[in-house]
Amino acid sequence: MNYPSEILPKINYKFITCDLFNHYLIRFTSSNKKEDLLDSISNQIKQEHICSPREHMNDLSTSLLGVYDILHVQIELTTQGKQKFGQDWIPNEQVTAPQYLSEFIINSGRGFWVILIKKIQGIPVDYTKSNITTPFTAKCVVKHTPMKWNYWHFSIRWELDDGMYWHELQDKERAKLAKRLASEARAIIAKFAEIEEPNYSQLEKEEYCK
Amino acid sequence: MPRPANIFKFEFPLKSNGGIRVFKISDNDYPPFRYKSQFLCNEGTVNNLQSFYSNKKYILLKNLFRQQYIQLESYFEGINFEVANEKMAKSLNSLLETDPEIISMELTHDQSIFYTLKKGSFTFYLQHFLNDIDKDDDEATLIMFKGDDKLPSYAGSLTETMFVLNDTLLTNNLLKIEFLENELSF
Amino acid sequence: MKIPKKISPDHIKDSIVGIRYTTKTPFEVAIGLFYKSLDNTFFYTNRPVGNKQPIAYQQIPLFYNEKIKIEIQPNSIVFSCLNEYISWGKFKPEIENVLLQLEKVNIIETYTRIGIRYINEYPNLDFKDCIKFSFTLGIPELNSDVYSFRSEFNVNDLMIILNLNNKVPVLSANPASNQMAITPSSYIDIDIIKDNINETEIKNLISYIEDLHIKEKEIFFNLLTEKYLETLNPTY
Repeated sequence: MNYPSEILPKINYKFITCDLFNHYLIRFTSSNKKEDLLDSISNQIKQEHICSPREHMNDLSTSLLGVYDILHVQIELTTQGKQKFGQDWIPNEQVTAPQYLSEFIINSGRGFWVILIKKIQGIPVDYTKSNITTPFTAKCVVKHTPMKWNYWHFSIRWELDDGMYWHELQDKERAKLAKRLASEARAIIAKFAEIEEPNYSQLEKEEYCK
Repeated sequence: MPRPANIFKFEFPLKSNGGIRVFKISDNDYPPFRYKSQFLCNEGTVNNLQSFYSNKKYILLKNLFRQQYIQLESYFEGINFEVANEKMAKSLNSLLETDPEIISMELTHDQSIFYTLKKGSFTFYLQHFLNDIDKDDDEATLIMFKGDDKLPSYAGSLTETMFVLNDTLLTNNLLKIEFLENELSF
Repeated sequence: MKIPKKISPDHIKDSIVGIRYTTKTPFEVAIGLFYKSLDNTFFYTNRPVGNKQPIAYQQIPLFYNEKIKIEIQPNSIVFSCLNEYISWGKFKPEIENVLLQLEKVNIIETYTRIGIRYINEYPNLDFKDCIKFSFTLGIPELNSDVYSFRSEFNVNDLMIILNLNNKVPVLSANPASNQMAITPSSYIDIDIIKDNINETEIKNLISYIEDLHIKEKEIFFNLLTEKYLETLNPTY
């Protein structure tokens, strides 16, 4: 089985910086059954499928839905694959395709959730009225972070009012904000994520090709 | 004949409905039979349906908590079930007192209870952290949406967080208030 | 009128059986004895009343299993289904099972009153052609769209409280989306009470409960028009 080349970065690709408000982010879930994914009372995606214990809410991995489509969520890198392809892609870097079975497998049990970027990009976080030692503000940022295995990789991050990102802070500082920002991430995704395939379009070539 | 002074509940119209009065089905709220003593109603099998349904939700969510705790037990080292259960009862009961249309909960691997509440056009997410077992009042965060618009969040003790939640509901006319009818107004 | 055994959908929002009892045992002791008498298929929890943290001045004891929930108060035991209605054929044995277990501690002196209440909910339904109830006002052109009607009446030694609500706006979750929506909903709420029974035997009590249930069904089905009843797929 060949790795889908359409999701690999190419030499003539660039960072995506255009307006993506009407595009969706997609992330895989460990199940594709509706009853597993949705809370039957609130009809929202369950917390366990937003982020697993191994992931980090401060830098949540997703993909841009378009060229990367619903079926691509089934691609799962093996341990070997992660070592080789789980790094950031640098523009102009040529990458080879992962090899089936040794570096990637197809996990057909995976499902997905999608979220409209417009709903989360720039969403404000305001803890200035709280009774905590470090009141702060922040905002949600959707950033293109292409990886060697997936050009369409995007990260949901949190930019603080001093311009720093939560995930870049030192351990101690990062931990201080962890509870609040993790709550925000959970809430925002629970509120706006959907598990149905939306109507979506592919990004225009000039937005990602030089 | 002068109407006797009564304590009655008055539910404000929800602003988002443009003034339509919305009812919940309970004996005390049955319109127009709010004034029980005035109409000399007989006592039925259950006289406070609102409390009755609230108790049902309480049980269902306590049950769900127990099941989820068993599933996630490995993430709750240092917090035994009885302690967690007691803490959960505190937050759950407080939240049920707000009479939400929807309430659900989920235990998270970072040792917290993540509640979702919907009331009117508001959605509240309250995360109750169970892992500060030395403190009397646990930590909590509150994230609020009005429709799709995000409101300022709150973090602090559970008691303070509940106060902010109730205050938000009251400010937006989503909480019932009780007041004594003034005889002279009739 | 022939009373169906079953209809589908039944639209039962809730079914409640309430039994009042007398005892000389203080409640705080009685609840411990009740707890001990119920088998381990039942779980116990209590719910603080009010929000006076950290000390709750009153607790509501609640027992439950997979199917039913039981609220025990100083003078009453109230049974209801925990989730959806489980059918009378399953609900009644659950009630009997609990009463027999509670009887073991020998503290209930008499049962004084029983009540059965069924609440049926019909979203987006106008009762106009569905139930045999109508009323007119002095002004002929005035037709009521939304109404609430409550009546109490005595039949033999039973007190019956009937509530009809037609198209009252109710805020509820729209299952298809995450949004709350106002749905005009209609309700038939029938509460039947038998008071002053002064009974000590469980089997007689269960017999009374069964009689009330039969009466409940009689009132409910006689309220429906034949045409609407047909749409509920009755089985006889």
